[in-house]
Amino acid sequence: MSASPEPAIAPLRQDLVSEFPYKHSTGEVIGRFLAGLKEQKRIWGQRVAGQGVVVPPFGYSEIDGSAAGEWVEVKSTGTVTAVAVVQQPIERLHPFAEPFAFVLVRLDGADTAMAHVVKDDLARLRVGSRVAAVWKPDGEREGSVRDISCFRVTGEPTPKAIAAGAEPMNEPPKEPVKYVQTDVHLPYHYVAGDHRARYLQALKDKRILGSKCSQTGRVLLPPMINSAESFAPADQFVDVSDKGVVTTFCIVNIPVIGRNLEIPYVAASVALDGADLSIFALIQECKPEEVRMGMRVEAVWKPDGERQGDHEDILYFRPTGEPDAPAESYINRL
Amino acid sequence: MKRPVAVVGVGQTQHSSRRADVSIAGLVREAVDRALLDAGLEHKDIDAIVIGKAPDQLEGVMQPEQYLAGALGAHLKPLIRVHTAGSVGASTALSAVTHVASGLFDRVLTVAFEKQSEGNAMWALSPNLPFTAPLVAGAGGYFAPYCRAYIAKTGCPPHIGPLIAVNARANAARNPYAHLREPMTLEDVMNSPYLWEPIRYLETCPSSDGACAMVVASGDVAKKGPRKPAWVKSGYSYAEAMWVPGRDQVSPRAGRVCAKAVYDKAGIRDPWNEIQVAEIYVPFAWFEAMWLENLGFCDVGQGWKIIDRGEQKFGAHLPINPSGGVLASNPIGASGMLRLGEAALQVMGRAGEHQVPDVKNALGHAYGGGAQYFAMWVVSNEL
Amino acid sequence: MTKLRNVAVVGFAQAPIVARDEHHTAQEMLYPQVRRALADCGVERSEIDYQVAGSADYIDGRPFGFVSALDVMGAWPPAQDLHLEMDAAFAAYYAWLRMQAGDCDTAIVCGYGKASEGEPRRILNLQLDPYYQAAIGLDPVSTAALQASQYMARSGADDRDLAAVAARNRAAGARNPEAQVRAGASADELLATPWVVAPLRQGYLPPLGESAVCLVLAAEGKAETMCDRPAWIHGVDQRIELQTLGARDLSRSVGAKLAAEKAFAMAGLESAGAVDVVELSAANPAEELILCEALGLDAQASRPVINPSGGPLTGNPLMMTGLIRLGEAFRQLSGRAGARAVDGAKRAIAHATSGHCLQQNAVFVLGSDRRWS
Repeated sequence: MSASPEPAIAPLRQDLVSEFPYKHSTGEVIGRFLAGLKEQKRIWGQRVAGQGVVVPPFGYSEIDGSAAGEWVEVKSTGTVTAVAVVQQPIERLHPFAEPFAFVLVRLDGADTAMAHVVKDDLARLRVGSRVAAVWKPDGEREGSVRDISCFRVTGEPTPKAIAAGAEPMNEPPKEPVKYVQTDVHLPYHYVAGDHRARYLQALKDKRILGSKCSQTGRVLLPPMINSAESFAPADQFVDVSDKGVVTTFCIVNIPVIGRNLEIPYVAASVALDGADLSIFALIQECKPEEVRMGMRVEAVWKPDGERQGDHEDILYFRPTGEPDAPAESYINRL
Repeated sequence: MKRPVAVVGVGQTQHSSRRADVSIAGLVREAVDRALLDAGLEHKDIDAIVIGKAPDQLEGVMQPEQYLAGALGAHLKPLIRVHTAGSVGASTALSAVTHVASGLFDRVLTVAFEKQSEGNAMWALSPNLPFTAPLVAGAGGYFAPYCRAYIAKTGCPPHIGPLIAVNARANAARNPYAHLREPMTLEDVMNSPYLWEPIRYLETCPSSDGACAMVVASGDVAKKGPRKPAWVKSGYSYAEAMWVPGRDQVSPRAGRVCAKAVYDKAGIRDPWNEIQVAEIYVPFAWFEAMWLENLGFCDVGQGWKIIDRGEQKFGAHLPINPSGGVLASNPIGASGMLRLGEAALQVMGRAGEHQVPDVKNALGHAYGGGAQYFAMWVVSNEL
Repeated sequence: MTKLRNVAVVGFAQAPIVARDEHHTAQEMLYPQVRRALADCGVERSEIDYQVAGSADYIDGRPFGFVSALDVMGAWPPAQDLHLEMDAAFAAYYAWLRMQAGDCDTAIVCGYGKASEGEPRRILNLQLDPYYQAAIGLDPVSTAALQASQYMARSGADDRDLAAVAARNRAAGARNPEAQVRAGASADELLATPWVVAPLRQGYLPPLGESAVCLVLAAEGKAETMCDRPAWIHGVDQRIELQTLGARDLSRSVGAKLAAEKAFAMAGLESAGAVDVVELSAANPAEELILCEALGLDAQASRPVINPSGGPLTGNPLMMTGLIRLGEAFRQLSGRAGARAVDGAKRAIAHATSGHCLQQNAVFVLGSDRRWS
């Protein structure tokens, strides 16, 4: 690999958070199980082939894909089959700020274990411990697995038989809980890579840089580390004009979450003089209907002193007023 | 391909804007149950599972095939998950064909789905990317400039896109599984607002929840019935780099190369006359004209004339998308498999109300990325 | 056993595994590895029939992240291509299947992804079903700890046993210039590291790291022209299990056991003990012990050598750890393993995994000689 002839560049980083409140519809079985937690304070499983009584149920056997059978109520006491003690909880992911444990609990009457949490008595907690559900109070349960706020270590022995307790029920509520909401919150810490960093940094000086294929001399914009066409490296940087031609475009009339561009706006493919690839750019200072394929445009830069070395240093492109480029000069450079 | 492969069962869901009645597994199982029933098989008969879908940010579940393994009857079976952008449903089906062609698997279940109502498709597909100006507003915002270029290059009149859109709806009326089925008039479409001019609202695919599943099997299994199979004569998936100076995004090279490979292998020299029906991936109406050219059904610049003459309508010379296509239903991950599956249904004689008569060969096609990924097959009623 | 096509690993290039490459994007990290792998095989990109990659959108932090890899993989003119949202080892499996189908003779298999750009413990929570498991905030270290606790309760293995396995991997990593963690550590030192999620200590867990890899596969007829000592694939199988943690016996890997049985049968391999090298995608010592049990390996025997590379504990770049195991097996059999070479290695096993708690497993058996004649 030929070393880049350019001097070393400081890393360019950007942090963005990807977040969205997803709503996952539950369907009948998951929905009724959750309704059982919320409205009845009862835990239901389903008997399925190859697994016995599955808690919590999906409506099918995960062993062979067959459809599920009858609803079976299980107790809210059970035995721990796995323990993971979290020493430093992760904010906005884990349910507690203090050390806690994830557990798998096989409830009495169930043949599978459900994943849950234990908050207290962590020193006493081990595989084999007896635990009991701690419910959220009436009015606070929402129809989620966290309607059980946690399990607590009881030390009580496994009951020999399922004791008769409250009024027996045949099924969970008929009306399912419709959705489970997941508020996804993912911070990302990106790096631009040196080629993109150099390109952005140069914008501060009102320079547009492309990278040149070491084999064909074609100028790639924005700079790429290699030319896909030749498969050769493209490590040499060259200046490209800030004037060019609109090769094609569209008029965007639809807003996007998280964007603040005023609609309608023109998004155009612009072939800058000296570059062999076109870039997408905003066209302004003219009415959208005045934009044409072949229209000559020039960059409008942020004023001196305001440019930061990022993509906003070029505010947009505007018509230069020159005669349109002939079709053959741009029709194959879309 | 080392040995013959056939489609022995096809299933799909009721596609709609929001399948709030089912969980993700419920949606997928609806299609899988139907495919297995169609094939006269059970989960225990399936040797491997090949599943595909588009970006996981659409549902907010990463690699959902892991959660779905139990639901798919995949426990202790081989499974792979494919992702090739919009073409994924098709490349997934082709990967299943490879599994069978290898000689190592006799019956492979293949599934593709999207439950994009759980998130927001536009947001998921056009996130703010670092170090990039946030200009592209959804897939339409990317493709609209190339539709404009097609119109400019060919002198295609403005009613062609609307004609395609109207026809897609008319076709969807014959497909009970389709999402958008209400008929439209040319006036309806031409009066609808531009989303990304030149693409209008009513020329744009919907955002749908849906799934498609198929069982592909060896020739020996296929011959044992119960259904007349659809023989996979050929299938290829190609991709091309993005940043190639002068890359043709109106008629991409990867599409032309892929189509040629598929036709050559299937022994087809004159697609316009040797293929009786084609299900092709048209998310924005103008692509129907563009793909007719890219797929070699006509010469460059002539695709829109086929539309103008109505030769691609149901009942005409070469019906395109009798199912209504992507314009009628677009669960992104599933759409490619729906194209291939609908082509198979046509050959199997099981397309119900939208059955084209006397189908010998059918083409199924999908594309994705910045018009970079192409996956297609030709299926036939004989080996 | 049916006679199959002889396919070999003929090349493997890997970027050093680093905590964070501040100067290259994931795809830019991949480009030099593709160039190097092809150069080592003495072929141009145009001589390769097929390309397939493994990566994940959520690791890339954007949808369609893999599309950018087309340019650095050389997809021009247009190439026959596939991308899997899986560890690149499964992409290698698929390329092998294509060769069995007669659909290609040579393939490049690429893995890339920058784990440092996201926060994997948050991201991988999303792999779990949203209704019951992701909903309580489980992350991959916590699920691994649940599995470890279940294994320890059943088998009687204790903290010291985990430390011993970790120390062995650390010692091996010190001899591997490609590893991220290059300092050995004794069991006592590792036992003194704090709990992250008990029973897993910090010393039992890999650091966050990233790399880019390109592996080259070729069928008989081509393989011999591309490599002086190809590593022939004798057998391969992969199996997924259901995901629900409480519905599995996490203390055992029935999937790895089944995949191994099938791969061994295809390879004509009587037992795992008969090979010289085993590379396991075990991201913590409990996983390694579970896998040894599943494969029928004695974790304490000196032969076969387990993880002479140092294994994932010394470098675990997400989306390619499994492919690196395959690449390491190739290096051992083809005499390219430098200071970590296992003397006289003629047969190897490489293992890959996907999902929480070894949910999905692939087992490759390789040898210096062709399997079928």
